[in-house]
Amino acid sequence: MSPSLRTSAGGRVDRTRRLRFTFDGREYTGLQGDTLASALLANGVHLVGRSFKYHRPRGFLSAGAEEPNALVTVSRNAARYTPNLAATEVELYDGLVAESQNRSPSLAFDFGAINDRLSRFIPAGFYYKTFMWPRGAWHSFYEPRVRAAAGLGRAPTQPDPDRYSQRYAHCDVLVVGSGPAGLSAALTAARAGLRVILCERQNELGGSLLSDRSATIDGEPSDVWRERTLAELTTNPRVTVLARTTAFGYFPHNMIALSERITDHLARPAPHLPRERLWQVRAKEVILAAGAVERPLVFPGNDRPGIMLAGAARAFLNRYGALAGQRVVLVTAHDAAYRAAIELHAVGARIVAIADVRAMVSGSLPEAARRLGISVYTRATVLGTSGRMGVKAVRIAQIDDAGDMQGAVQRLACDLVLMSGGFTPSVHLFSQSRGKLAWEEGLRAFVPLKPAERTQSVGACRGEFDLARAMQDSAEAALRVARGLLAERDSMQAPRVDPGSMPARAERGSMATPPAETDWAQPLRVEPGSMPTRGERSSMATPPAETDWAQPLRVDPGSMPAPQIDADCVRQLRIEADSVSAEGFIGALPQPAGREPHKAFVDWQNDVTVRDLALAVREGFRSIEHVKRYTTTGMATDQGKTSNLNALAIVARELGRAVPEVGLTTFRMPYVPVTFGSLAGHARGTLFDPVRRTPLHDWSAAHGAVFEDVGLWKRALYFLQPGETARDAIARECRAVRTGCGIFDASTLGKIEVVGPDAAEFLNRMYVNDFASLAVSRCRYGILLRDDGYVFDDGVIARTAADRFHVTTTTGGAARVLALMEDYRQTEWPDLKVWLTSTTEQWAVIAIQGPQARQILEPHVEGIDLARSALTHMSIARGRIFGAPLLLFRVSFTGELGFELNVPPDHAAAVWEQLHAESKSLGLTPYGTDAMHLLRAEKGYIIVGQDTDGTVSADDAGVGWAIAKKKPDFLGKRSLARPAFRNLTRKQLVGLLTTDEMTVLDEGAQIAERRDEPAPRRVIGHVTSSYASEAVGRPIALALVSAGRSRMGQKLYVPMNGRDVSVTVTSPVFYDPKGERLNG
Amino acid sequence: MLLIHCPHCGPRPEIEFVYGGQAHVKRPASAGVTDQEWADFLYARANVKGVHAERWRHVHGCGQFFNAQRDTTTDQFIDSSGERA
Repeated sequence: MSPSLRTSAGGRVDRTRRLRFTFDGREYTGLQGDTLASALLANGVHLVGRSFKYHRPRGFLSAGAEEPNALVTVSRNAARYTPNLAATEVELYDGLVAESQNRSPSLAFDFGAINDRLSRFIPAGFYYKTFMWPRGAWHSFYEPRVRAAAGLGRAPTQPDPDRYSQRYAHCDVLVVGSGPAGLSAALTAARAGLRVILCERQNELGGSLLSDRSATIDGEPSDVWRERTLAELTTNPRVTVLARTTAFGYFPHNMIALSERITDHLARPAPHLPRERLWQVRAKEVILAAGAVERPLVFPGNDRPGIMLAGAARAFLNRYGALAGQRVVLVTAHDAAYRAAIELHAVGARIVAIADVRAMVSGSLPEAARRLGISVYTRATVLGTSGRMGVKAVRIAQIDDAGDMQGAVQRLACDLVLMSGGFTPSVHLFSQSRGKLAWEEGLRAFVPLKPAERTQSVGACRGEFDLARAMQDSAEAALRVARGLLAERDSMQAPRVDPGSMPARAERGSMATPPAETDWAQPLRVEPGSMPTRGERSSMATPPAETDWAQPLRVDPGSMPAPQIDADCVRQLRIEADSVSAEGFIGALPQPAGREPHKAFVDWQNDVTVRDLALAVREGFRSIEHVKRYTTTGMATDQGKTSNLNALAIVARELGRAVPEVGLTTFRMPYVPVTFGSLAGHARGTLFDPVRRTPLHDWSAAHGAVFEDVGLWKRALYFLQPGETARDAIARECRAVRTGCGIFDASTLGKIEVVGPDAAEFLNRMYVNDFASLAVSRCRYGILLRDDGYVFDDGVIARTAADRFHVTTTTGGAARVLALMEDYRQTEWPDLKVWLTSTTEQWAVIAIQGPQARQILEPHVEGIDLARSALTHMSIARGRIFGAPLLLFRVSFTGELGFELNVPPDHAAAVWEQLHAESKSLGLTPYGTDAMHLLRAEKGYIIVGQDTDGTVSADDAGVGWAIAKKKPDFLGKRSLARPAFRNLTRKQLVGLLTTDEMTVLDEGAQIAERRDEPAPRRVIGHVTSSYASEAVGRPIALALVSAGRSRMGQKLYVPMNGRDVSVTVTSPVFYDPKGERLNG
Repeated sequence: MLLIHCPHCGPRPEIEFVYGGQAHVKRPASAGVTDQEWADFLYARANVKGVHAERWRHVHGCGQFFNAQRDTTTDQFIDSSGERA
């Protein structure tokens, strides 16, 4: 470490704790409390990156989150490998390994730097224009090369081994930012007794106070006040202080997303700690104290290493004791830079000159600088800089309003150039909350005008840069918030109308007129219960520190005094600080008449120059949003932090319009990059989605079942025997059902119990069928349409009592059928007395299908006569099986004699096991969904969602016979009379047989009328289901074909793998067309 | 994430609800309605910039449908007095 670059004392680093780290393989030492950036600077390292497009050498522009250049990769190993971190935000730890990005082979010698020489040939949007030919080469050739040459770090190659935690929190006031304004607001709110969450992106709280050397509060250095305030806040049980926590997204109704970094700064993180924690905070009020970002100045060659923001050099010096340079030139349009000059001068740096853009420079700071003998040039501008790997000199001149140079160009040798164009309020979160901004001409910046949420902006983020006023204003804002919340609480303690007396109905339709506005709006009033009673949960013990839930919101002890506003809250602080001008500069610094700025960067991160923006305007882009996309200015992690206003001013000037007329690009979350890990939290791997298993799952798994996912369910596809292929297994299972008997787990079928005096009427209105006439103990195949007339679901519906129905739905459709039923029950027919209950998981379903089904069941079923005449097809009965309660359906989805045993899920495994054990000798064979699909297709039974797709009517699907046309109304009835439903060319479900009796058609394949027709072919339908059928003796397929039922026997063609497969149209029923086997 | 005031359960996060589309869309009786009227019922919906009357269902709570007015430009719900709820 070069001792001359580290101050002997001061700052927030611990000089007794030296930390070793490497950057690009070279070893350095830093101090506890350093960032990677401050440690590198203290080692004299400025060159830390290569720019995105031109591969220009780059150093640190800033000392904070706005850093566009110094993006590095920090890695612990191949899995814990994090690219694109701002070195200014990386906290140093012992053994840290960092490397630079976007250079090959090294930072000092980079092949990609050729782009800089070619820069005039690759302006904004060059890739839209250049890489057009030959067609197709973009994907195979250009894009991979452009991506390799441009870009940021590499993604890690190993899965992320870290855990990420998430939690929700509620508070009265969320304060974002812990600078002087944020601390002042949090303190006032806390003293008023409000529950406060204070979050701060940096590792330490204090914001600008951390690098302040001059201000006093109540007669003491500002840091004394800072520490005292923190001590008060952290010991207040109503306050949660979160450091290393960035508020990155502002969502509706005051929900703010915070990202807390927990282990990234630790040399050896404890294994039980999550790496990050995502907080979703619902705040009654939000106080934004997000601060401001210093604006760079735009002049030729403004991007060399050693050219940085004035405030950044102050932060490096005052906070970290690191000297960014020793011969300093400042270029400024704002008084703040003078403070940097004075402080650098005090530690022995030589201030070569201050070039001030302004014509008149007065004020206490400039006067103090002049008194130190520092030369100040007014009306100054920068013509250029030099120094390949770091700035060596800057050329300045003074020009008048007409652009004429006054006096000679001065070449000032230096190793550090500091710039300040004033400050841009960080309105990102305010804008994300859809608050409206106003242009403030004096500040050259947009400031918050009208919030859309319950949010207040205080301090620098609303354009108040004076320390005393910022702290005063924010305390007052917090007081307003406290008074408002306390008043609301008081008003809610008064008795009010019980919200439960409001009508529950949504009155969507058949009620004559919509009720008056008051009627349906009233329930949205804030409930009294929404204000938590304080002291309720006081008995919770303090959890141990540093667990996954390490920093729980503190719980109010019951002894806490009630919130109130007392003298402490309203006491004003005595603040003394230098006053700074509230002005600044935006756009490109003026150049002598006739000279265009060359390589004057507006957006460091995306390598966007003044010339690029001017080109975009010349090429016809007028909207700032379009200019942004064309030039990429303000994109990536910058999100406009440093580039926004300069770009805006340049575009406005090119367009000849005022800045506010041009407008502003949209601020989007996240404010800074957030890891995917923290957004995913625990929801990955096996915890990504819940898994639903039937009571027969374990038995199936133990007997060779291969499972498929159906929604969240696991269903057995087939049961593999030793030595079998899947195809063998399916054929064996089908054979068993057709010749003996199969046993099938149908527990996933959706089930809804419909109960009440009007249950039959309700189902009559929902389904196309006549359910009013269905006798008790009988069941019927029901079709459910949407009101637009298309098939929505199907299933067997049984009447278990006069006022009770057992409705089954498809496995995937259960939830949406219940939702549709509830919608009509509550909002269309609230007069019907009917109740709906999901019973999917109350019944396990075991299907027994095949000619031997009766023989297999008969010995074990008690209380039910299984005789053909007693329990007819489509009827139900109650009894017992192996002692378990049984609701028995005689139904078939295979075309064979079939029964479905509904038993309580706790009994299902025992029933299945005993049945299987007792009947194995009779050939009872478990079969899976693959066999089930094949068996039903042989019979032409549709599967909703496979043979229908939301544009298929009941008639199209061949189940129009189910419609009870005489009913006055049912869902979708009116739609069936629409012209489209009477169109004779509608696609209808038919069977297809391949002529070669060999080819199994592809499901989804298109169907054409003419063979080998040149493209584009006229398509008249598509294959919906296709299988190799042993029972039929050849492949079979179901298909939707235009006017299909009029094409019986016709030859059609299915293009597959480059040839036309010839098929014949048949009935969709391939097996037992008379349906005699059902009655076996 | 919206904070939605269920009239039965109080303020709850949006993930407990499903959106039910525009409120007060009257379902005509099937008989005697023209194709156009029926098509309007099926497909014509307002796309309001401003206050929109809409249905919500507290599906992961009480299960009830209710109506609400929401300003689509700010996502704020409006109560009977015209104030933000």
